[in-house]
Amino acid sequence: MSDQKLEKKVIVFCCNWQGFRTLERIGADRRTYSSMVYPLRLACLGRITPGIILKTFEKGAAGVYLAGCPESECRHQTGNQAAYQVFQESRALLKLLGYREEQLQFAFLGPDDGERFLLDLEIILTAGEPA
Amino acid sequence: MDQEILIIGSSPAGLQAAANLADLGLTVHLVEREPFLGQGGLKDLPDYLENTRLLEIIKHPRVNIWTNTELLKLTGKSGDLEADLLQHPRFVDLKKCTACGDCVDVCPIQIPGTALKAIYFGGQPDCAVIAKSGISPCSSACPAGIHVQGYVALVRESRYQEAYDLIQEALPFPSVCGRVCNHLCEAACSRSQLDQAVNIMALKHYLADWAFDQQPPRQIKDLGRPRSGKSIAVIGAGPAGLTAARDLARLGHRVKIYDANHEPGGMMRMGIPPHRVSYQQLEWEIAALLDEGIEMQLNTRVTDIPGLFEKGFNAVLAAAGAGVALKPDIPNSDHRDNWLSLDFLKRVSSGRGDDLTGRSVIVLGGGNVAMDAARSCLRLGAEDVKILCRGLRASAHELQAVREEGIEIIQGRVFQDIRLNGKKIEGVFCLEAEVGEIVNGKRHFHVLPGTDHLIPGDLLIWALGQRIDPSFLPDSDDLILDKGWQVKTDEHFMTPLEGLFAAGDFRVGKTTFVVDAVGEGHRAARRIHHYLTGEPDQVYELVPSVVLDQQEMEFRLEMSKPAQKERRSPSSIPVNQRLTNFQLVDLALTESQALEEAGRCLACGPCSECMACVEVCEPGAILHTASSSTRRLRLAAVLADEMPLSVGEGIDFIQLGSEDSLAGSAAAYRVLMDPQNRSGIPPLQLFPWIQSARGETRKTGLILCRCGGEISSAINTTALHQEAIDWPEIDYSVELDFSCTDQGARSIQEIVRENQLERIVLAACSCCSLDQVCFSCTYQRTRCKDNLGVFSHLKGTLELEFVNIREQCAWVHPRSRAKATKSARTLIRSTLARIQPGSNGGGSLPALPKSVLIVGKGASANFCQDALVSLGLDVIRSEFMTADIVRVGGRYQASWPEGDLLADCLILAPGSRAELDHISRSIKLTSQQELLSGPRIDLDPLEYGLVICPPELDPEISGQGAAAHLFSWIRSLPVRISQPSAVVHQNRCRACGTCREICGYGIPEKRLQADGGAHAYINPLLCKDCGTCAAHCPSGAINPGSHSVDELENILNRILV
Repeated sequence: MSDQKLEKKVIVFCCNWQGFRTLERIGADRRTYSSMVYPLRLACLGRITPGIILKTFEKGAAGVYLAGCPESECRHQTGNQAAYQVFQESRALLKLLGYREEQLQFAFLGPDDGERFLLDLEIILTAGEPA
Repeated sequence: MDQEILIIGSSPAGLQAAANLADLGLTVHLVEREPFLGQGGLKDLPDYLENTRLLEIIKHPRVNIWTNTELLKLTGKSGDLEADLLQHPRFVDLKKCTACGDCVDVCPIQIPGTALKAIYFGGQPDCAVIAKSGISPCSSACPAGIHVQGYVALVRESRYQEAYDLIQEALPFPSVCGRVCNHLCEAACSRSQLDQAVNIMALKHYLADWAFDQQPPRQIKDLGRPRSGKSIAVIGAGPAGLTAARDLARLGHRVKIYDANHEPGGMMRMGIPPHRVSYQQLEWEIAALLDEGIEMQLNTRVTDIPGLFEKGFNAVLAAAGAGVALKPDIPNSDHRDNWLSLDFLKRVSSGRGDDLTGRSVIVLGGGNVAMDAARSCLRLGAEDVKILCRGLRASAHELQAVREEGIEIIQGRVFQDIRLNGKKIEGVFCLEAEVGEIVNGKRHFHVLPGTDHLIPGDLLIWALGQRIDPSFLPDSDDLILDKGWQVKTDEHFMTPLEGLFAAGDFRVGKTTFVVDAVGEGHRAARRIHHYLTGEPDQVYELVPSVVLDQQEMEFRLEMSKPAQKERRSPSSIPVNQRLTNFQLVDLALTESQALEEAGRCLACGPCSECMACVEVCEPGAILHTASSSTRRLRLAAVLADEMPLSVGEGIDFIQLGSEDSLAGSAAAYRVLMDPQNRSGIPPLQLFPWIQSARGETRKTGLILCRCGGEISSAINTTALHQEAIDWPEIDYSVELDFSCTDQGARSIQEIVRENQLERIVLAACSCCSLDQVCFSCTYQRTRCKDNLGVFSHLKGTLELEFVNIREQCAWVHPRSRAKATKSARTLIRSTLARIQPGSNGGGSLPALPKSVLIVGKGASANFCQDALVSLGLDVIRSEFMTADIVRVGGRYQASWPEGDLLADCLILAPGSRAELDHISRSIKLTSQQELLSGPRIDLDPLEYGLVICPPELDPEISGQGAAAHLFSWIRSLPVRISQPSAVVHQNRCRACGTCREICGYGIPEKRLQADGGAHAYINPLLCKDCGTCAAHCPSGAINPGSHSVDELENILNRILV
């Protein structure tokens, strides 16, 4: 991914636990992603709301990535599922507001899912470009 | 007495017992033989929890971790025990290692039979450890202290410069000792017991030639060390004097060398003929040595020692060698054709060798000097050369060369007199002698009467050994002993004349090898340094040498293909090309031969002490000279799986039992049941509610960690530091090399104190300021937090916030420094927004859980009930299994048709797996499947107040273990009051129940208000502050302890500017 093409930033909401570990693993393995991507750590992805997501777009983000724990491994039991619901609602809202669905991504990420994360990121970055 | 508990072994049970007892307020010592904890695996925990669990225990303020440690002896009686621990060195400082792994990359040694390097990582604590059972025999045998195995290992990896430098560290003259050494290293080589020793000397020879061929530019080294202000005069520029001079210069002293000869090098230069050592290489090596700031004055014979002190020298080292060749007093030994070996060799070495054409020479003596003289005679045109001696002491290599060159050796002779024929010598008249016994270190010979005969020759060269010439010393009987054969020195190498030291051949009073003299030089330098500065005179040689048994050697040989080759010896130039010149005879190994030979090393250490790890370790965490230490502990109880008789016969210890974690809790229960220990549990301290200081304007500092270059190579931390001073939120900014080391913590403390900071943002690899170990946490992060007081349950007034600029910036954006820096700037500024107005409760400490519901028919239930009662808890029993069990308000509610039971905690005590499945189906907790059938999630640090007694375990162990685990959990709860939690805004709450449904722990509960209304209540002791309820509250009545909407918006503003 070339940094030049992208003028806007992507916010990655991730929890303290698996999501954060996935991102850390990418760094520790010395793999790279665009420097326009900024992680924002939460205690649990369950904290995310449609309001926060919409706010992020409103402030000019090119995309939002929600990185939760693997499906049955949420550190706080219900957070990742709750966040998934939020994700679905938010996508519908975004569509109404004229964004592309792909600009919002969600994944249940384990520590070894760095590749998946990078691929998803690619989708956001492409979708976030001015048409 | 001390209420301290010793736990032997970090098995799952041992770790569990440590966690439980520490949570209960007892001080725990956890002793582990291996360098890492939990090596047997923590089978009953889910994989993703293992690392977290270990870190939780390591960071616990009341758990002392003793890795690499064994219990030597246990004495006393139960309740009052004394334990002696022996901790083997890790050789890496747990307080400094940052787990960067650079040391592993450069280590040339693989531990035989494993895939591990000799410095390796293997779990928690995540700090390197060096596999070194002792100094390798070769290194330990070397009088000069060369790390022999180290340079052999480096040669094997073709790292010649490092190998040469390693030799140079101990021996300034590799070119000489690569050719003429007595190589005690090879005699000590383990390999010599299998087939033949590694040809270590040939490797040194190879390296000396290699380094000389590189012709690196000579550079005057600015040592940059603090000058001590002391100066030392060294008399004699031989191996001992030069070595001592270099060591002293490196220690910061001014050194001046005096030598009577016109060339430096002493016997290396004047006593060994040029067919054996390369003068060119030696001169180059000496020049490099002198470049370290050493002054030298040649052609000067010192005669006035007191005068040197008057000139201002603080110490004088006499290292004048043993340069007077001996000659017996027999008839006609004063004839002019009686030459002294050293005079003759000195002329040879200075290129003024005598013309011996037509002469018939007899060299008298059987040592290496005699061989040197004899071979030199041949090269000077002598018609015939014989060696005549009582016994041979020369090295096998020299004897072979002498014989190859056609020199006759006549041994077993005692000299009677010298016969003359007119004015010329006719020969030496001798008697045959038999080799006798050795008395007082000297061999005796028995003369055979009637065997007298003449050995013909017209020139005699005496090489019977040398003595010292002490005539330049002040004339004093105190100083010179044994009729001038010996100088008196004490164990500090100092003579009775204050400040006058002696070293080398001059001190020992006879000729020794170059390595011996070099070793003397090192020791003298240390002692002089000690004399001048009072710094301790460290004796490194005392570290024991490793001994491999036959089986181990064979195993290592089998493991390594390259080791299975035969010994390689270098070739020499053919005899017919030698005799007309002084060309060097011995050739070096070729590169491929050297590599092959180095591959034969069995890595005895296995660490080779090549010091490559020390070179690369930025935080300076490696200490190769660390040694074992012992520690005596006074203890109330000892927990162990078994107790060898040799350690503590008849000692009453508490059995840790099976590998199951809960067995550890059961052992903890037995500790608690000891009345002495129970009284020792500190009274439960309820920490005052700590009001968060967030939101006030406080003096804030930014600390940027360079991580020894890991961060600063990708991010311009200096630029960030400079611009941060102008940021409105920042009052102070600083860069640090390492923030996670104890040194770093001390620096931070200092910075905070001096600048009166009230909060700091640390931009490093750590990410949160919570007393919490997440999956991505590391030993270094917990260490950093621990150093900064995050885990101390009563934090100071300092507010900390962390931002990870290593994994999140430096490592993911390595290609563009500008972009990585920009990314780091944004993340740091957004983190500043985290310290913004937030609401973190208020209110009083809720009651601690007290009642326990035990469900199940297992025998463990009875044990559990008794245990809980004895621990002061209220128990409700139920054998009914058809109930619905839910968690409401952080309590367990079991509903039967007959009515409801309510308890704070739940213990399942089934009699069988089937019963457990049955009960688990009736429990309506979220993700119940995983909770009840998987690994021991109930022993997870983020618990539910629920423990299962596994039906497979002994019922007493599982029942008592479950009780103890639950009890320690309850007792650890008050600590959490300082942690953030969600708070319900009563006026906004509509008591709709959404939070109750969504909370993964069933913590929110409905509380009635006085006016008949209701609101939700969240128990701050149990809340984990995940924020999910806050996100889903339809009226926005819940404020999470962290990540409020305002905070998130502020962060987004900073990022998305």
